Amino acid sequence: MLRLQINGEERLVGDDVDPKTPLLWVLRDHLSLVGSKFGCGVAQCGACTVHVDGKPVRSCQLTVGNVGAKAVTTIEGIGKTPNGAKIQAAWMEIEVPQCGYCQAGQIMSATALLNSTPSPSDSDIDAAMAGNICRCGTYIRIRQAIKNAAAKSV
Amino acid sequence: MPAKINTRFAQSDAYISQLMRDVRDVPAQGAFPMGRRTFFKLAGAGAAGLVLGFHLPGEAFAATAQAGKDQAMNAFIRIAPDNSITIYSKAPEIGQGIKTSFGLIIAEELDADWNHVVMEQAEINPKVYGNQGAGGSTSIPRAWDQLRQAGAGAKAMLVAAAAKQWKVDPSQITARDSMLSHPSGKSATYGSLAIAAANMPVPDPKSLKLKARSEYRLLGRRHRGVDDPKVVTGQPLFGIDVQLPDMVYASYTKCPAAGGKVKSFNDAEIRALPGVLDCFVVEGTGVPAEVMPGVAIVAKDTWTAFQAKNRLKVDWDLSEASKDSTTEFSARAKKLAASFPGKPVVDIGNVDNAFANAAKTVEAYYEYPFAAHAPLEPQNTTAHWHDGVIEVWSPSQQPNRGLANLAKVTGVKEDKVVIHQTRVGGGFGRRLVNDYMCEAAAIALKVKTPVKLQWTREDDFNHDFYRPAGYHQFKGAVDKNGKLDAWQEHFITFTADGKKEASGANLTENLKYSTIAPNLRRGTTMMPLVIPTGAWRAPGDNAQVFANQSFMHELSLTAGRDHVQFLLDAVNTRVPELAPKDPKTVNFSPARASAVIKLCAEKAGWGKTLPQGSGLGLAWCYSHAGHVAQAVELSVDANKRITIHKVTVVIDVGPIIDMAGSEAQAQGASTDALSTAMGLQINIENGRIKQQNYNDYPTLRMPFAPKVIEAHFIQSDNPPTGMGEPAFPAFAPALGNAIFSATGERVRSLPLRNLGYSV
Amino acid sequence: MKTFGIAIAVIIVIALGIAAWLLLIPGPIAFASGSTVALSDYTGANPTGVPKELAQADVIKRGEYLAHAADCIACHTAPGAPAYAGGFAFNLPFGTMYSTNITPDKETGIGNYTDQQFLDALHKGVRADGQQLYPAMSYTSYAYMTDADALAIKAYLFTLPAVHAPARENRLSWPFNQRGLMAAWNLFYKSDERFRPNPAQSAEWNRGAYLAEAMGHCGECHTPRNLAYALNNRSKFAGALTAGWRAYNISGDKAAGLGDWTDADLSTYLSTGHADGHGGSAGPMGEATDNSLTFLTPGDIHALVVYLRSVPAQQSDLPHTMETPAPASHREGATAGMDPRGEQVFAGACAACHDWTGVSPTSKYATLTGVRAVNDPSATNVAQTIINGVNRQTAEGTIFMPGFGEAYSDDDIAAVSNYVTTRFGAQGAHLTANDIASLRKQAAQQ
Repeated sequence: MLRLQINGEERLVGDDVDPKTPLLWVLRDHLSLVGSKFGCGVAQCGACTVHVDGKPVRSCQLTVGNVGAKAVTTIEGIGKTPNGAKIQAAWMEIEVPQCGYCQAGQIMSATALLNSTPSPSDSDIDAAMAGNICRCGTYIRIRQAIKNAAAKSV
Repeated sequence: MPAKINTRFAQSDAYISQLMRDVRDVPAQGAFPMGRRTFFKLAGAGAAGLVLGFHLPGEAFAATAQAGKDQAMNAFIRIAPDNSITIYSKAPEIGQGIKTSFGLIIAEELDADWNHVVMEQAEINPKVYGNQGAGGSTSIPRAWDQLRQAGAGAKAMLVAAAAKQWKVDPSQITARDSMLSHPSGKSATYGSLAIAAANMPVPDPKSLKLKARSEYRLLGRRHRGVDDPKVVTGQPLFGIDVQLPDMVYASYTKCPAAGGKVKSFNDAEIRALPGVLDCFVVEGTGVPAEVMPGVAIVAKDTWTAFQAKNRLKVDWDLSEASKDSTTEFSARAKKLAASFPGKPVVDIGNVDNAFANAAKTVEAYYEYPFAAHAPLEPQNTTAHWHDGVIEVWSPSQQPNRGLANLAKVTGVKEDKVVIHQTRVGGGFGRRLVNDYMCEAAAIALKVKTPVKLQWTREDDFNHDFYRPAGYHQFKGAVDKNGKLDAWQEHFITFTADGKKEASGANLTENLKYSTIAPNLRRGTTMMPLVIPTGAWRAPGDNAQVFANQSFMHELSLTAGRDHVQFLLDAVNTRVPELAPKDPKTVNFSPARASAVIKLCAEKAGWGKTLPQGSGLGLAWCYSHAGHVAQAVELSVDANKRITIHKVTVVIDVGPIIDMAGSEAQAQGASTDALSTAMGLQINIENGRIKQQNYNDYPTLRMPFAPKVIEAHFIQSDNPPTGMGEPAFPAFAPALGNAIFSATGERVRSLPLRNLGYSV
Repeated sequence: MKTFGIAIAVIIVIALGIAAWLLLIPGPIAFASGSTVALSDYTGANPTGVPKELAQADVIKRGEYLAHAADCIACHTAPGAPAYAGGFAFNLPFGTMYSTNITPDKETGIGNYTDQQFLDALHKGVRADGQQLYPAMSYTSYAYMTDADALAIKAYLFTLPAVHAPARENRLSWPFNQRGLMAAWNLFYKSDERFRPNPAQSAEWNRGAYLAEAMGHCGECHTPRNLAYALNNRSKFAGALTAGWRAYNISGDKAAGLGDWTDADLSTYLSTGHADGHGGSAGPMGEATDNSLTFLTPGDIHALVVYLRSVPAQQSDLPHTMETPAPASHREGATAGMDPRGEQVFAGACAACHDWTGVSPTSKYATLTGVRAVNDPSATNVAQTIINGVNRQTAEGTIFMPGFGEAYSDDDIAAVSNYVTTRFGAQGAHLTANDIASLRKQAAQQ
């Protein structure tokens, strides 16, 4: 039995789940948290990004056995954090999503960026967001939404 | 060594070609002739309030009666007594914003309070809704009249109910924000009138007065996507998010070379893996658009199914498998290009004569590679075989076609097929084909509980319906006035059946209008291809416009003319043979083309002096009923690194429904086009796809994306047409033309990274 | 005339000296104090054969263990092809050679080999048809293997499914395509002498020596070669470039070798392909780990550690590894002023797992800090890993990094290799696109 800390709650994962299973698939298939998305399985698209102890992590590469007692935050829980809420609001304000599939990962990366860099420059945005692919090409609005969110005081 | 024709592949290709024609034939003047359809109120309207839909005369009544209440919940509009309004979107949301736009169109005519409208996805029932696909930028033009009539019809019934209650003349009643009012001071919410309205006679659609553009309150403004709150909080929306009680998970493995069949696999080893519930061979129909042979593994969760798939060892029968090779195609096309085919497909004027008497001629060879769609949501479908019914939840672009697909695959009648449309994590044309949906159904037949089929990203790269590569040998002539006089194009392309071009591999009609030459000859040579092809965002145009509009720039330079003037001359040349023959399906307009080109030149600062190493390129296209001009301003450094300073997009797709969504499409299509032009290619060797995941397929990322994309819309009273595709095709030639301006090097092949360029 | 004669004599002596230096190379275990004896005269615990856990196992089980220890599969399996069916490409300065099929297929494999023919191939480098093998087949190492162990391996190989896989034609330039020349080479470099234990060393040392020299043939990659392409044991385990990958210094040197590794780290690394602070194995060493070393018993791993520890320090010019993580912000650190291309590629394709610090939040296998390859200013293995990726099967699951060779240009790969070594290593590389093209060629499997 694994005890995970997810979005501030303890979630139990049964022994039927192999500890080598990536966190992504435990979230999606076993804990009904389907907001984190499967896109590539090789840490190239960023759709599965979650926070582990506040750091953005590709949950398709992190085995659930290696999560331990670290605090996991997913897209379902990020709105409870000040920067997460700001980012979500900014995303809706300028209509960032097209198909929307990558946006959970984009929001997780963007929130982590604001957590470490409250007023990010273009180059900070490039560095923090480059690991997230948007196949629809919403980058121009993601950049703007991050700047808009940063401009709002907490 | 030409490939053998595989009849099942040819059949599949014919299906996809037909599907592409279906989605492409855009009615010129709105959707359907008024009066052909009539409204019906749906059963169960009393309790639910007013529920309004359409039907096709005849069979539809039967459909309504059979389906009963469930269907009633899924027409276009439901107004509940508490004044909540639910609007049903009939088409798949694939990122084009259709769920928002469809709602806005209905709400506009209904005068509904948009802030209190809830948008829901309609069930799949073409008998009630008509076409429910999303492709070819046709959702808006097809549904424009239908949805407006739905909104206006419901409003008319509410007004009639109020007029009856208030004993006033209906013409004195005004509607706004889900509320009716009368100069006398009487007012009532839609909700309070909903039940009474449901009992009013249904109006004749022809009698409805639809709003003029000047009366719009919602259309043309910026709106938030109706699913945004769920998207940004990670709520279940997409096909991959479907979860059902007792659901199991499946992977499916097909031969990496299309057409291979399963001889055997390590059944016992796979079956013995912990968490694997079952594994079996699916023979399939052998048709790529349905179910190709493969091995299904059913497991307790997705990861277990994937792990077992990794351990799977299949002995493939490769006797009918593809041996296609892209290196061979490129080499062969280059050789074939030299001899123009005996029978041209278009032959206008006298091209030979024109070349003989030309002031100047120029020749060039262009090519571009195969491309994968690679939508970010890997293909998936959840299927449940129960009670003689096949029920699926699927992120499809063409669910209405799914009914027949699933009936064929499972052997039930279409009325035993139930398809639930989910949000779609990117379409780009890939999901016009329902192969993954059919596979899920075929697997479900052998599984007692609901089963979710999940492809890996590698599956998606290996089993796409690719944008075909293409090779163009051009020869053009300009006359002594510097005008385009002759255009000869030898297009080397592919065939699946040995007779006609493979899906998406034909010269598009649209090209005729962007390269109007008094002397025009086009010929096609086809190479047999086994790997399936299909519709890729702006099919045909997405790459052919690159070749054509780049060569147009070569011609204008040869003529020593200003490129914009040269283009304007060309689009305004009257060549009777090239005039649109069917005004119902084509609405190319020289005036609209000229207007977008002129405005684009103006907004991009055409003619301004640029620093050394910088360039401005411009191109235009008529694509999917949209007239679009695009300009790219960039600089190129000594290492061939491109910096894009500004992209200008000028679009005429008639009136805009949702400005935020339309601008998003203009920005997204331009970004997608840059991504594709810079880096994307699919290589095939021995029938196998080389690129397996995004690490091999460098989809554009944030640091490389343009920071400035200006979109300008020329709005008019022409009926609105779609935004999903038109802003894609002209970008690549504008980029290539700009690179030429900056460096003097002509880009004649894609992707640019093969030429050493990077962004 | 006399002086001329002396001059000639001096030249001859020097030439002979050089020739002797070049040709007469000490044996692989000659570095150790004490002298060796024939195995039959050795009174200590038997250093050959299988470990005690398998003492009672049948010959096939024993052969399987030994085949793993000798890592036959590494060279006799082409990527994606059936195991042991050959076709693996060796890209050498004088052309490309392919390994052969050692499944029991009678036509294309070794199905018709008699015991003696098998022993001749392993010990002498002579094929069944009498033709001389090239020393890409490491018969100079396998010569140390006992007949019993060799025949156990044969017994195991003969239980494998026969795969019909004809040998691929070698593509060697003249004169290297003349197999007869190997006879001359063999005169100097082939010993055909079984393993001789050293009674002055411990039993464990002798077992380790047998595993490292007769079986695992570590020196084939880790010992530099001389002009005649023979292993130069004067620089034993000093590190070398093989097939486009750098096999690092595994001598006792503190700066560049294993001198600073604890026994525990070394044993963990050998048995799992990873040790905290030293990173994980990739490329050929990753394969050696997964195909060979992970199968060894703890006792055998310990014997290898004891043996490796005894190899004298060989200096090499690699810097001491940088063990401090890089700053958390991409704007800080040694890469601050670099060409942005490397940073952009890293941001898009790498940072998500490797982090801007180099310490992976995802997997210890993805941590770059402290990894030898990252601290190698030639960036050879960094570039190869980027091109080819990592795909290892470990007890902890699949360790996977996608390869980027297909999509990224030589310029991009050079830039990001330089970036990675600069940011996370002791000294940055200065690779160019041409270097990457050359590395691709050296490691190509075609």
